[in-house]
Amino acid sequence: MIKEIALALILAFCSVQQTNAQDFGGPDTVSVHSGQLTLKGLLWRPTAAGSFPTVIFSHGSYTVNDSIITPEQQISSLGPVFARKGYIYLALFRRALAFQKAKEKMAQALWIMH
Amino acid sequence: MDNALKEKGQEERNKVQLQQPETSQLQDMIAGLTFLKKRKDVDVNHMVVIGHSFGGSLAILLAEHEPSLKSVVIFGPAGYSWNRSPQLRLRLINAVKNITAPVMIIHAQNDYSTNPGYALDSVMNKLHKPHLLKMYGKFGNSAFEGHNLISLSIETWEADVFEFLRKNLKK
Repeated sequence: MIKEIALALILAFCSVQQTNAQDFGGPDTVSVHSGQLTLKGLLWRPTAAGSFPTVIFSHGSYTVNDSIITPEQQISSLGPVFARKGYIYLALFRRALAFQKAKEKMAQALWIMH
Repeated sequence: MDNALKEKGQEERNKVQLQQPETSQLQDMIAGLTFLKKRKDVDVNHMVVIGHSFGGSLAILLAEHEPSLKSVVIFGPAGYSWNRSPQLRLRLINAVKNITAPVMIIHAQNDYSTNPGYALDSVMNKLHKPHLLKMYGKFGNSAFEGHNLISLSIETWEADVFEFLRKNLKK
């Protein structure tokens, strides 16, 4: 009996999660022209048809001491959170902030700021 | 900015830090918005900027420049630099005076500094500007971890942020 109740609760919880969550796609790599530069961005989006509320994310400046969290970790963790809730989410990699480590990490991930 | 600090000290860092978000960094964010507005799947009447740390400061300046933004959410804005740069403090305080969109400010108690949140909250209170200050408890064992609450503890803020956006985007 206890098992049945627990299973029912789990199924009910999953149902609520599915109701609130949306299917989403991404990240798509996009190019954004800023003056003479072409910046790269990562974009997540709901897969349903229509238009959606949209987030543009303004990342921090990553110092050479940032070893716990990296730009790609931060952005990759946030994009799906918003897309799942029905938002388009653009994380734009702005031009270099002279933080070499961040740039190297972005380059490794092919998110190169031209 | 770190190079500026090494070579010429805090004063130079402050100068660079103030200059960048007013020029090239702001230009890049505006370009991002322009890109988004051209997409058919973007609801241009429901656009939001979310920023973290330096990017939070930049988000404030972007919202000042782009009144079409419907909400602003900032995590640890200028948390590392607020106490070190009087110029930045003054600029951000002046910027929030000009913002029309509702602003949500988020800090963990152990951020590098929670002064930005309290100061900006105070300014917006006096001006009766729509805003919300969320001061979460200590996260992790360092100021670095507190400052990076945005990525390291999404579950802490997720419900509050989406509720803030839900309320302000339906207007």
